[in-house]
Amino acid sequence: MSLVRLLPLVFWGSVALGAQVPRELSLGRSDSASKLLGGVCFTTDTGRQALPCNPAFISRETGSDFRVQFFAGNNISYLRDVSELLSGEGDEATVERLFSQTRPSEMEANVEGAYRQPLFGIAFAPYRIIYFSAIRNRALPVITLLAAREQSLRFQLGSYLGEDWSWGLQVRGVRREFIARTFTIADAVVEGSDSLFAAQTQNAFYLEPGLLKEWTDSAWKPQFTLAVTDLGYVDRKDEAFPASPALNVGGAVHVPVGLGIWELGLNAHLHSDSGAWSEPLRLGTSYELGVTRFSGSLGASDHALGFQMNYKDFFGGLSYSSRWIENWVGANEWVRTVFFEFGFDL
Amino acid sequence: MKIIKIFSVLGMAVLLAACQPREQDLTGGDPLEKAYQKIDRGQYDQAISDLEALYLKTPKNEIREALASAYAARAGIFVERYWGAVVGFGAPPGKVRPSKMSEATLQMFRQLEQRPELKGRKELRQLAEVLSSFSVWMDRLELLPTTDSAGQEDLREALFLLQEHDGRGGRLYRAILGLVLLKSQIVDGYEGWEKIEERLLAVFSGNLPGNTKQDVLCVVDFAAFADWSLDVVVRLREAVQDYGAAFPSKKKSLVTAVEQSNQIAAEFHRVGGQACR
Repeated sequence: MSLVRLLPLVFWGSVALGAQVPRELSLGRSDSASKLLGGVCFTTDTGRQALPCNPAFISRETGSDFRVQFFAGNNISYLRDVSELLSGEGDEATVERLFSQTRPSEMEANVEGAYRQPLFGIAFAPYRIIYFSAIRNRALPVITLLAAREQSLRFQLGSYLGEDWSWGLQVRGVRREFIARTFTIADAVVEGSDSLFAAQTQNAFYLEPGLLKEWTDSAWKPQFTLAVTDLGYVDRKDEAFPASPALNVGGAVHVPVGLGIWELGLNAHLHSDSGAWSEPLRLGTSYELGVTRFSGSLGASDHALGFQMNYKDFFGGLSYSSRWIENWVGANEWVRTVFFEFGFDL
Repeated sequence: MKIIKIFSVLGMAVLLAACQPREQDLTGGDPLEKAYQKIDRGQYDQAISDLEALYLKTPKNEIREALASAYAARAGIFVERYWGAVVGFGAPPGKVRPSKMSEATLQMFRQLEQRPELKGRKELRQLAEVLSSFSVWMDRLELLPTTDSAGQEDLREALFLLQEHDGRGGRLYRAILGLVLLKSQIVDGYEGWEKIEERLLAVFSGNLPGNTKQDVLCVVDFAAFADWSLDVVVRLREAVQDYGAAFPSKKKSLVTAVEQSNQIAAEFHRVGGQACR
């Protein structure tokens, strides 16, 4: 069997939990660079990430630093409403608010500390929480709930392969405690419904290689990247967190400008849920001028914009993302989310 | 450079795609999710047809529930509107309670007691008391809606489907739909009783000639009413059983009520089967 035929089989899988939990929520990362650039963060090393998305970039690290960052998104009030409903404390207003939703809701937050130096980096995230809920079917509301708390430890190491090539490998261990269920509202109130909310655990171990080719002699300094993510082993299979690898193929150029640094990247994020031809593709850019970096990206059905600012050893930023969906009552609407991030270097 | 040209072409393709954004499909192609979407859009006939086909292929509990909910939606029954009734259930009344009859009705029964030659006096009084006791249920079911005869047919379909459901949530849903049907039937019966009461009062006040010399039950269509009461009690019994399946610790306390209802219904049916046929 040819490699071309084999690839779709290797990368085929499904993140199905009744309602579609976005892959970038369950298996993705919670930081500004990932939200602003999506898959394009594998083609560039922009933004103040704990560690680069693509481990091949660790070989280009020139200095060393220790960094702590905090990241969170909106939708906290929705989280409270769902908790009240499921604990039986909700009133009619809570029910009205929840059942009038026409689309799923998401929330995520992350705390991470990292140390990076040339050719090596380590990051520990003691607390990443993700939350997804979808309530549909007004006749008998069906609820899909994914609530997870993760701890992860990442090591990155990399080196050069000749003058223009770099490689990197990320070794990542993740421990997840989660509730991932789809149930009806009647299931949630009968005797013995507590078992619906029993937390499960999953330990995962991933080996995620990356490759970088640079053409440094050219004025635009083009570069080509390849990275595989989520390639590994889980001790307990669960459709909410499948062992479903993804392949990132992309490139970037540094557009020559008189003032500042402008980077433009394109990435294809191929995985089991990839749909139409345009769905895996993403175009992203970032422009850095002084202490401020503006970034943004475009995908087939979403876009994101944001900025990050530095002040001495502190940094912070806001990201705004919009996703175009067809909701449950058949109307098209933009789902808008705001994320903020702040941190400091030691 | 070649790589920059390739990059530019691909970049333009993404830009073009982004200029005409493709809305994200929340169902992910899952036929069950698509059926939920149809229910939420009010396309009940289509949802029922799709779910019936899906159920034939995969008779799973979740599809059974979805199909039952599509029937319920077509009958106008949306559980989200009756959340209080779902979470606010106490145990159903365990005993038929003394009625709160009108003074005129009580007067009529006093007259009946003075007429020992009339057959069926006891049964008629018992029927009136049972009907009045349903007012206790009416209070309980106040939050639930009623539905017309077409809706009642859809609810019967839903109840039939959920009969095989072995999950507690599915049984609770069946209990709720059963109670909606029960309430609809009780409301129908109340209207019937008002007509009976009107006719009886007219007969006993001498305004209408009646066949009271032989059998008081002939004044009214007692047999039809007895059939109706049996159906109502069967519905009540099923709802109680479903409720007991959803809350097993309350099951024991419900058994007495079910047995008593059964005895009364059987008695009605026995008497009704002989009265004025």
